[in-house]
Amino acid sequence: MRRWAAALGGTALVVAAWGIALVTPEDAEAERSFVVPVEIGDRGEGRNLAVTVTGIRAADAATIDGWVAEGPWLIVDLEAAAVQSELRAQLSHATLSVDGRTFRASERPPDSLFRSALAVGVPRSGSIAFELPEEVFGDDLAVLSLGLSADPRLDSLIELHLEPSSLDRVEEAELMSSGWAR
Amino acid sequence: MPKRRFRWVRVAADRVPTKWVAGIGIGVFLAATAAFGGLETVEAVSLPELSAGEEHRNDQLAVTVKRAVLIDELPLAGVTVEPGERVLALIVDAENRWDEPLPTTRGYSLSSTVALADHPEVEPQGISRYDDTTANPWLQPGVLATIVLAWVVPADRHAGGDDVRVVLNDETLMTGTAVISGQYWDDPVPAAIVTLDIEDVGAGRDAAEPDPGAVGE
Amino acid sequence: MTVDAVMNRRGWWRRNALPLVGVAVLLPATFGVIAWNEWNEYFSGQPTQAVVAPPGASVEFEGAVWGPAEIEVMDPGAVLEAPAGSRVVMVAVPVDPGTDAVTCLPPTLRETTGAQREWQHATFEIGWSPEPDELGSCALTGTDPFTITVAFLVPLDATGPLAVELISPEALPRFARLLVEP
Repeated sequence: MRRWAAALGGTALVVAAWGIALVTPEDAEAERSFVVPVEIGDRGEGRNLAVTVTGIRAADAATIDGWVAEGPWLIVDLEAAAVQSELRAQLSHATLSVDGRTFRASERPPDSLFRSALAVGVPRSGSIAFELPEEVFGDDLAVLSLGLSADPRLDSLIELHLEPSSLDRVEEAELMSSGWAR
Repeated sequence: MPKRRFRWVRVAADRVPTKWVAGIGIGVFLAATAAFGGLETVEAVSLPELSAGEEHRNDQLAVTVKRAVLIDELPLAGVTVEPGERVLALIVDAENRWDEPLPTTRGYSLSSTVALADHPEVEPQGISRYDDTTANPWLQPGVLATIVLAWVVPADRHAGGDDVRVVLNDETLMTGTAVISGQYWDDPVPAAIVTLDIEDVGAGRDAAEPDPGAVGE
Repeated sequence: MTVDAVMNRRGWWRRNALPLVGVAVLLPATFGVIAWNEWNEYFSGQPTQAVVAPPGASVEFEGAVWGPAEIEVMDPGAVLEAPAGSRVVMVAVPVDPGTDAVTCLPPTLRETTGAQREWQHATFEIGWSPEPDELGSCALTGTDPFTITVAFLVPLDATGPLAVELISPEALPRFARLLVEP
């Protein structure tokens, strides 16, 4: 083989290796969630989870069934149902990601759709509440994600983008009682 | 001949002054001991001393131990006592300074970072919120929460007015490898000591209920 | 030309034909056997082998006689707390345990066609309080005949025919599937 041919071949291989290293997905990609983007009022359906976010509210204090707590709070009203099976069909994953920080739906309200059981084909309605630091309400983007498993890897996630800074803050807001949506 | 081939090993072995081996060994041991400071007791690393209401801050949590309360029982904080036992409860302000929510269940965040200095291996038996008694509450990033940590103690171990020393640990952020995924805090190391006066509230009004006279209210 | 040279001329593939065929057969067979073993172990713990009873018939399973299952579709709105868009389906399964007591989980209801959705009983969600002799499962039932009575909340778009499925943990992967016609 001519010397220039060997050099060219070698260079081509190095470039090819570099290119493959660049396009190789990260390990996290292999277990990424399947995201279903939704808007307020849209029904989003993933694996065994169908969700309609019906409203988003901001309040200094949240209340339900005699429980009152200072926040501030971001309250998400929604309808949710299972699609295929009621086995392990609970809304166990509910997070709000803002500016690199992740918040988990609060376990504090005595009645909330968070971690509640869902029925196949018959939607339930209610609220989930996020207890947040004040500065989050000045942010322009927050991502709400809802899923069935506390570990959201490789499962569907219903995702909604919202703008916390545009929400009207009220003094006190009551969570919706959980119940059948219709 | 194989025997002849290995004869040099024997010759060399015979030349080793076995008489001195013990002496050399002792010498090496003493030299190594001396290099590490001899047989002197290691001086304890002195930790910052805090008092009630002073904050300890690390990358995971900001913790302020506000009060230490001795009470007959505290079922709302998730602890049950047998006869001859009482409850020692710490009321702490905690803020999650990380960017993910932190659980307070056994082995996590406050459970593994706040300990009684006399029994540092005993995690709190009950953890709940001071305001609405939510058991094992999650700590949301940047959100301050007042938490009651409760230990069941023999009734005669502490008395009102005694000092109680509390260890606050710092933990290291670990990244899971192999079958563990994600990040978590582990490896608690003592980082500060808080000394508080114990208030004996007797049968008490439940310390997990809001108290208008509480520190910082 | 030596004998050796003649043999060499036949080429490496030909000389190793037999071992190569062996590898080509054994390698996939190894993976096949391992996969079959693992899946078999998994499926043996799942309800995968249905013992089917046609509508109106009973079936022998686990030494007991199950069925015939009776189904009653309640009028929408007329009963209990069924939300709009759904109806309550009451299911009664008579069980004759025979000589030994049987154990089973609360029955589930499944679509046998279409999406094959599956419902857990909703006895408490719809606010129905069963009578003491209307059992929800067969735990601690002894050897006397008894009837399992449960209620399901099913969306109006559920497609029949439906089946009541009864799982006895000891009998897995076998389970009873009683077809019902509304």
